[in-house]
Amino acid sequence: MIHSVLLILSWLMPLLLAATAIIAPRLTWKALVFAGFPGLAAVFLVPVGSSVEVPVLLLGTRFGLDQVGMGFLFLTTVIWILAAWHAKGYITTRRSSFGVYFLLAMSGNFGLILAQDMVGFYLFFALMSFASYGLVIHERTPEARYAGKVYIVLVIIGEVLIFSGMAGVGTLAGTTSFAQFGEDWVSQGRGALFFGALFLGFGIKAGALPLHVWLPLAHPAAPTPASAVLSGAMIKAGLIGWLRFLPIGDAALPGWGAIYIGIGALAFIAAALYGCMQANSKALLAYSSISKMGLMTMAVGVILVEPDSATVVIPCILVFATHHCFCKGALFLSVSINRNDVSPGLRRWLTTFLLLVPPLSLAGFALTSGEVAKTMMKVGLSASISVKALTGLAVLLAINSLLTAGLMFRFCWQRFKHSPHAHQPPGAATFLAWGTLVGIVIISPLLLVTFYPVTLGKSLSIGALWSSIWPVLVVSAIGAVLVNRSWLFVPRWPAGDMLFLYLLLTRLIEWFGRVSSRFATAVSVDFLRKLFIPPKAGYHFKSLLRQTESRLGMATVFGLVFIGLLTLSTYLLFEHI
Amino acid sequence: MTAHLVITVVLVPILASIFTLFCGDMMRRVVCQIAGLTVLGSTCLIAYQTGHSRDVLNIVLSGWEAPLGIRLYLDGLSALLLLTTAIIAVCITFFAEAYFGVKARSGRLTFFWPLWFLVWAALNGLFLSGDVFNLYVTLEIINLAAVAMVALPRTHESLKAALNYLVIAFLGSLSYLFGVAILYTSHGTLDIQLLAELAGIDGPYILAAVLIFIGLMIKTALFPLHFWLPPAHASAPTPVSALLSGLVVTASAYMIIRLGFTVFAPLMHTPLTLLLGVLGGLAVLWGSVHALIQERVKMVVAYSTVAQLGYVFLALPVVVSGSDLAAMVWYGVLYFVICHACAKTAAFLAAGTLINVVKHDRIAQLSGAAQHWPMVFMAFGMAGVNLIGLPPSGGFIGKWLMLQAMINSGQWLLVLILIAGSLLAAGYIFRVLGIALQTSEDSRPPVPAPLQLTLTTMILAVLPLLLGVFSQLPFSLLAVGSPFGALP
Amino acid sequence: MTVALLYSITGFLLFLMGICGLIFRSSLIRRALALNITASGIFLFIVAQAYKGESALPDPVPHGLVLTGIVIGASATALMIYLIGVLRYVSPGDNDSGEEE
Repeated sequence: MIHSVLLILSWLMPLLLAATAIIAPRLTWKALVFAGFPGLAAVFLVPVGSSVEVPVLLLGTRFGLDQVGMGFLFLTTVIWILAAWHAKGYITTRRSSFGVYFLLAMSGNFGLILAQDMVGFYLFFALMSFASYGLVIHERTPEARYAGKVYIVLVIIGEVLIFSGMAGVGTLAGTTSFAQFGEDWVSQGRGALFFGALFLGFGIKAGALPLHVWLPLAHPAAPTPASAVLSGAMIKAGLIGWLRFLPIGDAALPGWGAIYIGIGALAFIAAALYGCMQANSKALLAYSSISKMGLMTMAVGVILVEPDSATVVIPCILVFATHHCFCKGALFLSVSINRNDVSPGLRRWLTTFLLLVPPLSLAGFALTSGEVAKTMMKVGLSASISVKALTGLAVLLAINSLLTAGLMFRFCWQRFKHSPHAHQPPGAATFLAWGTLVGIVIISPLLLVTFYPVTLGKSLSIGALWSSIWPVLVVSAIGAVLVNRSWLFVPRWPAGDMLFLYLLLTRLIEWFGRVSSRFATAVSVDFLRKLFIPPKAGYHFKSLLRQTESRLGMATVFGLVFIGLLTLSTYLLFEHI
Repeated sequence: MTAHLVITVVLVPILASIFTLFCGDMMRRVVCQIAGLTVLGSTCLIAYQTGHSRDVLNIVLSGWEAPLGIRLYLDGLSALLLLTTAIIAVCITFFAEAYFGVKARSGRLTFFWPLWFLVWAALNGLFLSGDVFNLYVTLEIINLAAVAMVALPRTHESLKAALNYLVIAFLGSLSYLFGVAILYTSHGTLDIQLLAELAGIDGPYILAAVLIFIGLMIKTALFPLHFWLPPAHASAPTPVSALLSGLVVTASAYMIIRLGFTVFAPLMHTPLTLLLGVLGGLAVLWGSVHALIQERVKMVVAYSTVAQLGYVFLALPVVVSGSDLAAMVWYGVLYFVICHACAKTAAFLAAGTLINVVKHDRIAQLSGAAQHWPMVFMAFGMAGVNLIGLPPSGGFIGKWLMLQAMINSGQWLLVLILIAGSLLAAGYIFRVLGIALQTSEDSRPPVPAPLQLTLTTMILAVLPLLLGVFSQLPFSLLAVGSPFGALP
Repeated sequence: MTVALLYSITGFLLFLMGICGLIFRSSLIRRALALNITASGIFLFIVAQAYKGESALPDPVPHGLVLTGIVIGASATALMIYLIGVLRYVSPGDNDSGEEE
């Protein structure tokens, strides 16, 4: 009983609190931190495998907790709770609107992890995606609006893709329950088409390579706690979507696997490189997220090629996702922490130390969660790929380690050198939430070892330790020499890299539309002129539409249509019998 | 017990209509509220009883059996429609009370009330009719009263719209009547169930079907016979627009479904449905594109009605009688129509509230309006969610069922149209919202929107979302007396 | 050819004539009349169906239908003529009520 209640309350609580905002916005704001507690409680109290049926909701929906869901729910609830706490000190304007969007997105994120059928998943996914639009545009600056526009366009495209994919899969498989639809649908009829739609639709959320353009724009624009949940938790929703919808671990799909590995590897390297050229700390972190998601995409690809490896690789993905979520969340939150706000002395030194932990961890320095996660991923993947591929993987990992170290070096440099005095120091909650999260990052190697005992030992070997230390040392050495030579940091590439290509594309479509409508108007207006009455307005698409509409209202046209339809349908029917 | 309630829901609005014609202002208000709440209560009881007993009810008035007498027929579909109509109608009643305000105490606008209750009575009668001729009579009452209401403002454009509407609707009903006459000639009965049993495809039957369908297509404003709808719906006073777009077109859509799956079920897998599907698809696209280029909120909503009604016909080509697909289409279309009724009324009421405070509804000049009247735009947005067909709205469930039927039968073109229609709907809803959500420098202290207007709008905007989330109850009610049994 | 059939065909022709009038006449009054002719055609058709032969009594139901139809038709015509009448006195842009846009 208590399990069912927790499973439902996890997503219902934020939703209810969001609804409360209509009546009592202050109460909602006060309770923001507690919205995620039922979810966290569910992680610890609800045993894996329990589920609850809610028949009145949407043609019958099931919520449940499985191994994968449990892993994701843990990291998601923790980051949301801490981000909420951080927000209480950080957000000073438009609190109620932020609170409502935040809670709605939170409810969506928890719900999609727990949903055990497609329609429920889709509903919560849509709720999360649309609500986070409100988070992205929270500042209402032109940049935020622009980022919001790019984001919402991609979200809508994603929704359409997911919806069509889901409808297709549901129809081919004959069920909407995740547990039942198996892998047969991929090989049927248009299965590949639906696979593609789902791949792209969730890829947008997961920041997969050609579709990642919203991330580097949305993160700098959103308020810090929102960026933390966007990058820490919501980006993983795309990954969950893949794991839930696609027959991962059930069917061998080498073609799709190769695509996944290819774009994953590309993102893994290219995004990290591009991120090094970012002037904005949050854009830099966004590129780092794209790069790390690339590694997880590669892991998914490996499972698609070798379905049997799922039992080994999925825990690796979970470990990596957990590490990345906490680490990236802490990094984003530290953007709003300024060393100079703290009174000099021991506290400032402590702050400095805490500021250094997440970058080191993300760069995979020895004994941090980053090292544990990376080693585990390496070992997990090496069990299921060929020797040649393993060499490639090792090279990729080494390059990425260097680039990530570079990224983090630049990040720290920006934080310590360029951080100006804040006009008003953020509230105490901001510091406390950030400190707690960094604390979690510090102890997360222990956490990971507790939750996933396999990681122990693999990450403590001399080789692993050495491979985790040298990139940081090399980059720090190079950086220390060059840090005052500003030319190193001159390259400032705009955030959003490939976006201009899409913009070009929309221009092209617009141009094509204009030309073709002009052409169509020119042709059909002449045609209409001969048929009816000369047009009054110029050759314009809108006026053509309006004119046609008013023509339809003319008695003659109407009468002819009426008689025409009458004869046509009579004829059709008589022809039929 | 239920029989008495059924009589009540038809009789009380008629009585209210007569009373409101004669009594003074105070008395009128009391009568409106009492009548409205009585009918709402009765329909709730009817729906409960029907859902509980799971029986259809036949009421033969004063002992006159068919074909001479009037037979009332109550199944789950009728009960659900009665209930939805009652909820919408009560909201419109309270809305109109506040909207017309003092202006309606004397002069021409007082005629709104008798006409409105007449429409309500006829709607209830229509949903309860068990024979094709009663359908005709009730539909005619609805139309005549609706035309009179459109003409109420007595401006040039409203008179013109009313006249156009009247001519077209009259032609439509004549066509329908001709069809009914032919059906009676060849089968000797007007009863829907008897006709359904006797129906077999022959010459007169086809003629009757064509005439009846064309009549109903005109009334449902199917492309290209839709041109009368947007001017009529947009130039009327807002409560009238809301009830025209929310309830009146629902009535004719209901007739199409009711007759299409009973009397004309044998025609459901002929080229006729293909034609209807094509026209429905064109209506979806045409209406949506026109909604995109309108300059006034009410025109956007009115063209959206044209588009949304297209969906009623769009799914018909996939129906192959007796299969699961037919059941899916039946449930999907009906659910869609019911949710559309609520959402469309809410959208019009939101536009009306806006007119009440800003005195215009030109989209270009609404920049920043959402700051001043957030609740109004929230209601509009929630209604929009249903019109687009996003989850968790009921419109989503309706479209989802239609979509599944289309995919199952491999009609990919229809799937494409449905998705394109949803995208276009997102376009015209977000176009209005986008402009309203802009931050404007204008910091005039706004006139607050009257609570009664906002509240009724909000109730109707939330309703389709509730229908989407809690769909089990309405579906189990629909299953009572459904030609297909429960949803597969 | 029976009398009933003759009536039916005449009714159908009247129906078509009415629709033609609706299409090809622009005057509003003429259109209203055309619609009435259409209606009369249908009524004639229905009444003709009541004929059951020399010896049998005619079927009363069609008469009922036609009577109802005539009442509705008359109301619709009245409303139409009223609207046409008022339309003459209200020019475009005239807003004599002042309640709506």
